Amino acid sequence: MAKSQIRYHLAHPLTPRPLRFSRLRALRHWTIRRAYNLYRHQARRTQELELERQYNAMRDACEALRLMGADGMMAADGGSAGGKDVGRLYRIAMEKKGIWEGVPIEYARTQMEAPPREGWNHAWTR
Amino acid sequence: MSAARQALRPLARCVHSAVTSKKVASTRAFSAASRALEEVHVEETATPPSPPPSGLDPNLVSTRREERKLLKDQKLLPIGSRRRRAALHGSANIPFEQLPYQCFQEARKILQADRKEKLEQIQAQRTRIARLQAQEPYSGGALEKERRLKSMQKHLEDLKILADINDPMIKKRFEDGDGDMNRPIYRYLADRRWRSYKRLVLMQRIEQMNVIPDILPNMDPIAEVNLSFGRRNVQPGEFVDSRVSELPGTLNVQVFDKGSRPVTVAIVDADVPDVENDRFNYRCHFLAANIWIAPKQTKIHLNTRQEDKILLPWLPAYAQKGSPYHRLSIFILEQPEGKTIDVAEAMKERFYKDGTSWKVQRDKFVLRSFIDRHSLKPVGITMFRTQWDEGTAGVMQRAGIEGADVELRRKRIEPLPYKKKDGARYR
Repeated sequence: MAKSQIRYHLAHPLTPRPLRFSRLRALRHWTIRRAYNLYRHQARRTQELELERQYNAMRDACEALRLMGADGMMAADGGSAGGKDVGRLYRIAMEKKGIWEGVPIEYARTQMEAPPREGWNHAWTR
Repeated sequence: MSAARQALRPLARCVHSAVTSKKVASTRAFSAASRALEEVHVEETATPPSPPPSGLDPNLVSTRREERKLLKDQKLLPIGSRRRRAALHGSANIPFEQLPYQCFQEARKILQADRKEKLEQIQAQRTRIARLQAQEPYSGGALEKERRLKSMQKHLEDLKILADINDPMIKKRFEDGDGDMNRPIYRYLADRRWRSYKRLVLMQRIEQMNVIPDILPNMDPIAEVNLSFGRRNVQPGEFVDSRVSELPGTLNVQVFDKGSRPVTVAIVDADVPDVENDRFNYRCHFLAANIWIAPKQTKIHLNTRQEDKILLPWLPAYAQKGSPYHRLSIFILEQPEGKTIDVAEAMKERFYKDGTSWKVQRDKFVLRSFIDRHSLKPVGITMFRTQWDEGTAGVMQRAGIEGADVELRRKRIEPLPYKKKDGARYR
């Protein structure tokens, strides 16, 4: 008896009670809801734009490094054209050495439920 | 003092005190917004509910005695419940936008800022369009210019809707049916409401009853059409008593895009029995052209007698006894580029090189040919059904239509010769 009572009182409907508001109360609720949605949209938009800006800045920096000579000048700006020193800093920045230190190497590939159909791509060359 | 008012008295006092304290701005009951801003609001709120010019206000009377007095002196009925009126009586009449709820006011601020931004965008878009129009030799060619102008215009229309879509007062006014259809936002909301239910029902009816392939090959309704005979509103596909549809009804055509345009109205019966050829045929029950409609000009009276509009006047809907129900479909056809149709010219018979001729006439009226002839564009549709009932004979007699005494019968199909097997095998 007590058990069924407890179970009865602990059971809740899966969906919450519908909101029952008066006309103006519902309209105020709607207004707040719209404003909140608008605010979230604007926040997401600014975040996306900021990410895009950061990505573009990093890409431009890498491009500058790639074209830079040993004296820190672009080849186009009259720096040391050609030679093995052009883009040296870029190559160093792009090195993947040591990035998996402390992290299991398995995480280098996205973990899957099952092994791939094609186990090894023999045709692959750099 | 009535029970309702008595019950509401403490509540009313509570509200009163909150409002008066706001007036002197000594305590700040609800809002945590800045004091200066609140005072601006207080300036606006301070107008007390104006007393009615004479006698009692139907919104505020809350005792039986006052109600009786109102009815006797001003011939007015009280509005809403007595409980509501009593509550209104005791409350300050604050406009909805100025209700002192902090979250609500903050939300309104966000929405207003967004609206301001949208208005600036609208202004910028307008100047951009004007600049593009001013560029006479456009580098991309005239076609490209037209295409760009169209897309910019569409963006402008979208912006106009986005500027107003979040306004609670616009939502309220629209729900109350007070929306001004000349404004794009109300047209947009009305279109959305129509498409959310009524248009779906309409499409289902005209497709299930095969109006669509039978009379026109296809159709995309963009205007809402409601038919009524007198005070009887007809739902799409409903059976209408022949005595009800004897007199011409009224069409209510609501278009959702701006501008005034001439339309042609055609009412076509697709189920006229053609006994000689053992098939069914069309009949036109009404045909009128050059009727101007606009978002706020929606009524079309089918009893119009104007010479420059009417091609075929109203013929009462009827179905002969024994024939299956008749589908009468009402088409609203937009005339191209706002051009009017010359009625006398349209009624003339036309002869073709191959010896055939075509003429607008009631019987065997093919709507497809008429649409092709005048390059019309179907924009609205609705339908109703009629069948033989006890009033049809009278309707036909009054309209001078023969055939009320004829009963159509299906041809009896002779059963195939069937040899009865002997009963022994079924034992």
